[in-house]
Amino acid sequence: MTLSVRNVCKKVRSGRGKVQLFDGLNVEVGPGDRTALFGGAGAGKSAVLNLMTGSLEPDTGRVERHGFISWPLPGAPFVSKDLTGATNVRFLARLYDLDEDEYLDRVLRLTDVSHLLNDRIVYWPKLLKSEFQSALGWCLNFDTYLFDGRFAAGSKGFITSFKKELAAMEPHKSLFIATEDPRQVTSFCTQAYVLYNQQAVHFPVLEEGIAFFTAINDTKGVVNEEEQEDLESDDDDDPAAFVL
Amino acid sequence: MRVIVALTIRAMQEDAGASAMGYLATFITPLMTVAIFLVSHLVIHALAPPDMPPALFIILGVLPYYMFTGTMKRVTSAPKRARSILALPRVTTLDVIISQCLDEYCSYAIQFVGLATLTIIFERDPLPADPFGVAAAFTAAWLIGWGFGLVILAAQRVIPGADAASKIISRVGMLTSGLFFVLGQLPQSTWPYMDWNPVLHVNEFMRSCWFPVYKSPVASASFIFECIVGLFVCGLIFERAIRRVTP
Repeated sequence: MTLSVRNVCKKVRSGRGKVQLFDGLNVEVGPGDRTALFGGAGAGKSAVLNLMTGSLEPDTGRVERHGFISWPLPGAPFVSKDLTGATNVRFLARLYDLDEDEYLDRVLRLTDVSHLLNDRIVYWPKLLKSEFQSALGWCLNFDTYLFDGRFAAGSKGFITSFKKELAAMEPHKSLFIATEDPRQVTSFCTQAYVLYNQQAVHFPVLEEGIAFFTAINDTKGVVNEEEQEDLESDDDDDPAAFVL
Repeated sequence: MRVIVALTIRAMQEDAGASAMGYLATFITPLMTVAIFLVSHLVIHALAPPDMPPALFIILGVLPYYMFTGTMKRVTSAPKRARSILALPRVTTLDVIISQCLDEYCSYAIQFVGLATLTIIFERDPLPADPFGVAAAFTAAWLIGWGFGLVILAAQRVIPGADAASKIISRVGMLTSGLFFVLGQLPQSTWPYMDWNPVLHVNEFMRSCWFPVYKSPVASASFIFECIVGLFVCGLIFERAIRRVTP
């Protein structure tokens, strides 16, 4: 297993004091797995990802990690807007012991931001900032890629390139996406977990997971057309932005 | 080690990037602070002992103290400041703390050397009699700040608002750490009320090492060392023990 969350219990603070978020959570991700995690709003999808990356500690239970694990993509909250694109690339290359030029080349192949590289990120257009963040993570050659909510955000051309990259992902690499929209994952995932009663129910077949999630969530349902339109217009209010 | 180097370089770049004047601001800010202290010092008719040049006297007191409080604040605010960077699975809270402290040390070391050099060149102040002692005392101020920060950081996890302790320590320390005086200038009856403060020992030690004419009556290297070890052991043990407590 590249990632193993075993018997994790976790309480978190909320407006009503401490509430039990997980009680005996078990999630396993093996080499080559393409896994979706479904859960409604507030069910703890991001918390599962944070447990996996280690930025959230369980109250009890264990999380085991093997190999290179990404942060929850496509965001890259650590990208400093006060620094230039090139400096941010150098930081990640230094952190992950990569050749800076080679890493930069891979990022630029996915999104052409070469004309902005020496500008501070704060001055970049939002769309290119989103693409740059998505590309920074994708190009790091992780063993396990974690995604929170969506695979990528950017222009239509960028999303098309990113889809191709996802489809051509090396078979031994794992993919794990937490989402509440099953339609996003049907092309890329083969199995599912559904967050239910503070635990994660495993479905070896994706469609069974989708059916279960839809059944328990039928008042909210899968994301309706209106919400899908909101998603496609991106949270950056950029009319040209697309999400995958 | 690679993670700490990457984080430290990034912290330095961010310090400079956030300011319009970049790295120059790192030098100008303490210069202005020292200038303010120096002017106040001259206005109140020089508290410095007659055998110590006032500018250097102030620099030796103010900069280590500012580094002490700055390092303490860097440690206590590290998890909050670096929440975004903790999203990286490679980075731990301790990495962030170490890199923030290294950044603080490098900034103050450059400022200290720069300002001391200026006073030596333009005011013809003496060179340090024991440069290694000065460097050790300077580093000790940093380590004490780091140690206090670790203890307060651990306390914050179980007592929300415990970081107010760092403000209290800063204010009490400002008056009792020998920024504007050496202990030899105070009546001997006051010494027992002052010598509990490890930063006072650091300042006394530093001035003793720089000016051979001054022999501190209380400066104790062993006391400073014991404080540093004690603070680090307590801070790291507390942090380990309550790591899983939701803040």
